[in-house]
Amino acid sequence: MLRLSDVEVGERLRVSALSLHPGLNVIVGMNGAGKSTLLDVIAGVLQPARGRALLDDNDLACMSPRQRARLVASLGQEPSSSFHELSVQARIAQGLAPRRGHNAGLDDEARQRVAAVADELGLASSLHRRLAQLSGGERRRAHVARVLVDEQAQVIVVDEPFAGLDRLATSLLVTALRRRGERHTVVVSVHEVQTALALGGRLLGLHGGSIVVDGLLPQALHEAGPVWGDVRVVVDGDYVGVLQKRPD
Amino acid sequence: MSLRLSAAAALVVVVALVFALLCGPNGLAPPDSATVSLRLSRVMLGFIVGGALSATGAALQALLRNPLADPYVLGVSGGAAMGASLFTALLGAAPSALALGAGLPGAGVVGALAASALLVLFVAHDKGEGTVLVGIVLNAFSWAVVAVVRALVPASSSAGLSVWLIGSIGYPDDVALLVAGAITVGGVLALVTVSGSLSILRGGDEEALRLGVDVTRVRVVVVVAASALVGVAVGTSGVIGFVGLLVPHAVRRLFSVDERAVLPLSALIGGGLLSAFDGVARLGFGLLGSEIPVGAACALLGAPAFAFLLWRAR
Repeated sequence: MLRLSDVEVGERLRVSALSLHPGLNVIVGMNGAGKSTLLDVIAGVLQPARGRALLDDNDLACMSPRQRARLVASLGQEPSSSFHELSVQARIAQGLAPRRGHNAGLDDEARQRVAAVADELGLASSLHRRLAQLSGGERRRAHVARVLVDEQAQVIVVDEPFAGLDRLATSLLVTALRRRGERHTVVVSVHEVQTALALGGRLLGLHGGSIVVDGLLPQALHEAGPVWGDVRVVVDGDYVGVLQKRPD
Repeated sequence: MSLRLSAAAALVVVVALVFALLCGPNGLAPPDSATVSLRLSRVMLGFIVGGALSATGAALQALLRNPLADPYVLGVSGGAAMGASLFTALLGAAPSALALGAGLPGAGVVGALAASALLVLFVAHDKGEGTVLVGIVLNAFSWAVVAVVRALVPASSSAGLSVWLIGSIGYPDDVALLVAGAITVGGVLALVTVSGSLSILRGGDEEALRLGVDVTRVRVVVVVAASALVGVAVGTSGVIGFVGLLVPHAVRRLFSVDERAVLPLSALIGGGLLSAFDGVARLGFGLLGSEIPVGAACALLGAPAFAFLLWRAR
């Protein structure tokens, strides 16, 4: 179990207590609501000014970078364009580096694992192409595949993986994340109602750096406000506006 | 890296070294028994210096995420030259072979360490042109110190100090060759151990952290190893520019963009190429009656190539 207690990151995030269990945890919120900050704290790449992030009672801040990365696989919102010269295979394989070592080459087992994840996200035919040769959506999937490739990580944290994906790619990624949610603690931020509903699991709505919605999907959406057919989410009379309706 | 590419790289190195061994003041010919050991030691020194500079360039380009990074451009070589020239001045007119063989590289390492530590401190959060500007400042300061030292030492010593401005591969004694070889092998191996982390660091500190890279440790390893490599290269042969810039770029273009391959290949191919270049300089003696310092030849070719990279980076 991953637990945050009394976490504070300046004005950006204040979480008094949050426990995340295996399953899907969908984070929603407007731009600037604190989604990425929360995900970075959960991933252990941002040390909160106050409070602690604990994984099975072990403080993430006290772990070595590699030890932490073996337990928590994470991907930021905007992966660097410096990786564009890499092949899809090489980029995905980087996700195995915390476990296999940063200097390790690809053995057969790793190669098969990378190929399986690429296939899962519809990238099988692009495995040996450079990222620079792919469309934005394909590149996004290659980056996301990097975080999904390690089956042994306990927690998977992905910031807005659906940005720029078409319907088919979105559906493939939803399936992949739901599958991970059966065994891992998956924390993912999304912007769209349909994606949140397709993922299911637990909904955490952020507003002004605080968690204002916490419940199971789809009921949590009803509780949160008039979401069906609307882009607005209202909590206790305050506009939260966390989800956007996908145009039909 | 595939077996085919490894074989191609090995072939380049072997051809370059054989060519270097055959180059003499009287043209291309195998060295006679009287000169073979001298020629061999010079070829080996060229290989060591070229390997040290190229591996350092590859590591700095990855660490600083800057395609213009090179020990010469960034002032690390200048720092080493400053250290070595100060050491020469302090040593006096008649230094022993041991003092020169071990002391000069040591002084070079200290100077390079100071320069690279300053560089990394200044550019830790700068990914743009600031890196090169810091290099310009470090170089200007280092060249000024070398010039002051030249003015202050006796005339007999000051002529030798010009090697710190434009380097050349000489005929090293056994001690110098041994010290330079041992430190270079150690430095390159240290860089190779962090080469996988450097590959990931190209994507930024945050991505590296997410993938379990101990960014501070990698920075320390690169700064110390790069300083040792450049210090030794400059301490034995003076300042030779642009090898460290161009060889890693060529390796990335021709062989692999993975730093795990780029680092060892840059060391090997850079070593072979500098030896071959030095061979061409020896051939020049037969044609011009005087040897062109290999540092000058590298600068003549490297400066336009650097300008091209600068233009492309913009």
